[in-house]
Amino acid sequence: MATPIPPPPAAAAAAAADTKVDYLNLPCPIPFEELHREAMMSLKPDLFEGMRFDFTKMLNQKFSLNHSVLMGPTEVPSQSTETIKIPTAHYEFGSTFIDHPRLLLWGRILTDGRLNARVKCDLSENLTFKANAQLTNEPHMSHAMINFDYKGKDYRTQFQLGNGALLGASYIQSVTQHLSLGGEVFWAGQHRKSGIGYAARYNTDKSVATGQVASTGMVLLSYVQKVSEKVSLASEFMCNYLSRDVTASFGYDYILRQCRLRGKIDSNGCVAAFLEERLNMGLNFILSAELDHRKKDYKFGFGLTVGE
Amino acid sequence: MFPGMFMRKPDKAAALKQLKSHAAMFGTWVVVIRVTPYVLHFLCAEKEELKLEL
Repeated sequence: MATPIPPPPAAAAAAAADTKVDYLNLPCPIPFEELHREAMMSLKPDLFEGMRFDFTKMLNQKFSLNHSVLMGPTEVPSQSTETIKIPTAHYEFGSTFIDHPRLLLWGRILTDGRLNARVKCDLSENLTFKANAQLTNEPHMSHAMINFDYKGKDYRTQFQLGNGALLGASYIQSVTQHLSLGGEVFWAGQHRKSGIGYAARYNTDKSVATGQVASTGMVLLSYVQKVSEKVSLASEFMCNYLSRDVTASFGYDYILRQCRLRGKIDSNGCVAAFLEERLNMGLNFILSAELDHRKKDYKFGFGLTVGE
Repeated sequence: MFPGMFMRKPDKAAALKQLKSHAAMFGTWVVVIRVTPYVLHFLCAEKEELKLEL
């Protein structure tokens, strides 16, 4: 019995090349603030120093409580170039309410009185309200910011208000199936400073390239390539052409069946690695390491996470 | 102390002028981005017309 011959790959490639781009039906881009999302996931894991224990308890489908303990040295800002650390320990109590997908309430309070709070609420199908606040006992050290996000057919726009007479607006839109362009403008009324920024993002199934520049002198370029289903490689170039600070980073993100390993090395002589391993359903083991050879600042941390 | 604490605030009129300039640049950039897909669509449609004539 004769078997049918599979079509040649060239025909498939030609068919793919013949696909016309419908410029009036473009996809919706990701939010402006998450432009470098893939690079951040690989290059900036949640590194910590000391012992960390997180316990999360779901009271019902929408409401959960969280208890966190962190014990370890905390870096104190000092006049000299040497790093000064003080051993500290604090407990953090948190609660989370998620009425998916319309409402999210998130709160965390520490034993020294610091409070973090976040709100996300869908006012309509396309309009989202976000707010976050950090309140402290120290005078003039509390912050708050609110956002209004509007999601259009092929664009997203955002308006921000913060204390200190902080105003901001951003816009991002798809111009082809894979390319998005965006911009932002901001005003810090307390300091009487304004700025403008431009951004671009090009993403395919296997890679993401982003670039961002602002009048504050910030230039940020990133590129992430998915090497296989389990491995991603990331690179980032960050510089400030006013202060002449330059940093280049290279990292990897390795996802296995039971664990995820992320690491990076940058041009400042900093090497970091972060391991998350699932020991059991609802039990995760975390290892964190950061070696800053230039500052001779070495940080090691381990932790346990209980609950989903 | 932090250097920013002693930084003198720029003149209010000059700061507002700069803000207007930045807002104008931002608005222009948004308009350019908004128009780009329609321009590309028009160019592609024109090419398609030429192909049909062949």
